[in-house]
Amino acid sequence: MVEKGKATYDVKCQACHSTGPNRVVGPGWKGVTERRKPEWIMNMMLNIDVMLETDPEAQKGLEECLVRMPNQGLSKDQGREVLEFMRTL
Amino acid sequence: MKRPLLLTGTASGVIACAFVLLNSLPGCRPSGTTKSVVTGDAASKVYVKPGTHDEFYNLVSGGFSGQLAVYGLPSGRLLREVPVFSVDPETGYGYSEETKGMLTTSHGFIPWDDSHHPELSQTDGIPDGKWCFINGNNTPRIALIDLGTFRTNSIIEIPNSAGNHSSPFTTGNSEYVVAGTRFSVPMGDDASRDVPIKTYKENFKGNVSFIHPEPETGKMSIAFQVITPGMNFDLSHTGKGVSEGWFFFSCYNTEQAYSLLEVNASQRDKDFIMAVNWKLAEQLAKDGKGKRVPGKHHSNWWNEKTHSSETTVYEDVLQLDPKDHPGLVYFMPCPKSPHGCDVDPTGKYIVGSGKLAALIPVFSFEKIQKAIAGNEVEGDFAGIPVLKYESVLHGEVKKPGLGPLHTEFDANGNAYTSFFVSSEIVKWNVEKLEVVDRVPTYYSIGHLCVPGGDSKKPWGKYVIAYNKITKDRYLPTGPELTQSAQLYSIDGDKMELLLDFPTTGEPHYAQAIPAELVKPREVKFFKIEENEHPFAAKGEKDTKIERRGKEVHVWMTTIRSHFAPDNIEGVKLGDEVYFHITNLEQDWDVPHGFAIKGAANAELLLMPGETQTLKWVPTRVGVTPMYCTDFCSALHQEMQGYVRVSPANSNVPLTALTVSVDAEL
Repeated sequence: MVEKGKATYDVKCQACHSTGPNRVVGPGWKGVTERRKPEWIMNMMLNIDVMLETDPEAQKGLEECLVRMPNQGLSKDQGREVLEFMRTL
Repeated sequence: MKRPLLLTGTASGVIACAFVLLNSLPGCRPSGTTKSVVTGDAASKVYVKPGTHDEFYNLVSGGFSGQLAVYGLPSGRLLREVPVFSVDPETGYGYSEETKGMLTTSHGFIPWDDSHHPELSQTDGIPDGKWCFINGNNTPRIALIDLGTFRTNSIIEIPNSAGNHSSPFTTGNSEYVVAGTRFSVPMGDDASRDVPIKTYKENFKGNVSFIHPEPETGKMSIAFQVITPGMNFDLSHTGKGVSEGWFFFSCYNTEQAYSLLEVNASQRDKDFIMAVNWKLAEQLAKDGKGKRVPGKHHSNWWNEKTHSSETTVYEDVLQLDPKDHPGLVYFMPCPKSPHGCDVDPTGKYIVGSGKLAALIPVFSFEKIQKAIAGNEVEGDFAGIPVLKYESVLHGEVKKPGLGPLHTEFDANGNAYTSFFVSSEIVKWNVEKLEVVDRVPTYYSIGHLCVPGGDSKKPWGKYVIAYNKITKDRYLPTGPELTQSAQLYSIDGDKMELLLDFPTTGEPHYAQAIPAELVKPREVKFFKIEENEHPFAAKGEKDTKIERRGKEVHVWMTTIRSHFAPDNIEGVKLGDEVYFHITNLEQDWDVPHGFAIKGAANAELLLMPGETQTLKWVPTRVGVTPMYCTDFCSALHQEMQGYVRVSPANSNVPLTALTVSVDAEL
């Protein structure tokens, strides 16, 4: 699962998110699963437009980064796999 | 010098008299200032609230732009111009390495054409919203546009054709689209083609091609050509219902003139509508009855997985000669230099619009069959039987107007014919041959379109006029004015002008289809997982640079809002740099553009998930900027990069980097 998550990360996420602590376009992923609840992360990956409209934390992130996180067309399974990959960071 | 001037004076006198007469006819083109005949609540009938969609797509030929324009109806809003036969620097079509192949022909790369007649693909005689065909007139080609992407899917060149006008009309299940040559030309090997023009009668031949699009891929190939005596083909339409299996073509210049056709091809009282039994032709071709003749041509196809064109070159084509196959082709006399050739929704009636005639002849398919069975012929034309006019005629619409060109139909037994000279649309009853209404157009209408109006199932509601003259209808823009269309309601007993809207290029034919049949097909982005482009970079980890002799290849990606790599060094004067750029976005409406200073071709506009290649040949030493041209995010203006170009003998190593100030990334 982690491997699959890493593969999806390489194609669809890496351009904006480092696996370290710091921001490229969006925040770095190191420790992200400690800072955020899994369902919040899943919603950001799979349902970004609704999150940016309704979720104050997501909106705060946009104010910081100024680039709307793209909907990268992940399936639910791909989202789960990426989450597992995040847990290893 | 005096004599011609005098003659001209006389001629204008005659024309002036004719106009006096014309003006006494109802619906003639008014002289003087534009009249607004819009009444009542026309505005509310074309008002589409901001944020809501139009009811119909209107696919309109771009004429000498070579493209296909897409409008919404009833608003007349321009939605998109699809690049088809002409290069389009805005999208990189015809400039990117991948798209160049779409415009190759046996004559080499052809960057322009003249596109006339869009025709929607059909299932059971009804437009299905899958594809739109359109013809290229000048260097004879047919294109297929995929309505899932509104992109050109394939283009096939038509051999032995010259002036591909009578095209690309479809059979009821899009088994074939036809392409009839406007000019007849000598065919065969070089020696048979190098003949004096005055030997037209002996050596020049016409033909109509039947092109088969593969249902799954849209790839096109020529199934067969039916060869004909030398003359001109103008337009065509398929039989349907009772006349299913037949195809009808209007023919002019049966005088076989080869010079000053304006006069020499207008001598005879009647030319022909040609009826082709295409089911029989198909069978003959299957049975090996045709002959393969020289006819080199290209068939180009867009592979959506590799994001690249693929070209197949054919050396010859299968031809059927009706002289060898009785029952394949018949001529029906039709007054006079017929232009439109239109079949009503039942398939019972074929309308020929003799553009120089003062009446509209309507032929009956049933009578055609009887005349064939009873051998009611008045002679032959170069060995092909000519049926008796009276035997095949349903009747004539008398004094409908001047210069009938094209006819479309509604579902209630009415026909709508455009009249170029008297500048009007005339509505008439097909069965009774009676004029029931007329309405002026501004000015000099050419084609017209009713949604579904050339199919088995007209949706009706509107008729749209595509006019040849704009004159004073819009704010003037110097000598060159916008082209224009007009929308009329046909819901009531009286046709009612609702809207003028400007168009790009010169609009010829058009098709309209309910939006609901097209919208569900729309592709929103290309899946990056399915990208099979040989130079795709699926993620920044795939980005790299590689030298192959004088070629430098860069695997590059875009995402909001940066390029990777964006710092390139080690390029030398004399190199050719190929930027293979993959847009990593996977969401609708997030294209990125790519432009580099001094590029002699164009930009790239990359849809999400797509890979395209721009070739760049640096011309001077220094650091060259590149940037994203499509405003993509708040940090779009930061989406940029540099390429360092060094002298030819330099030792700067080839590198491609994206450098961050933050070491902990």
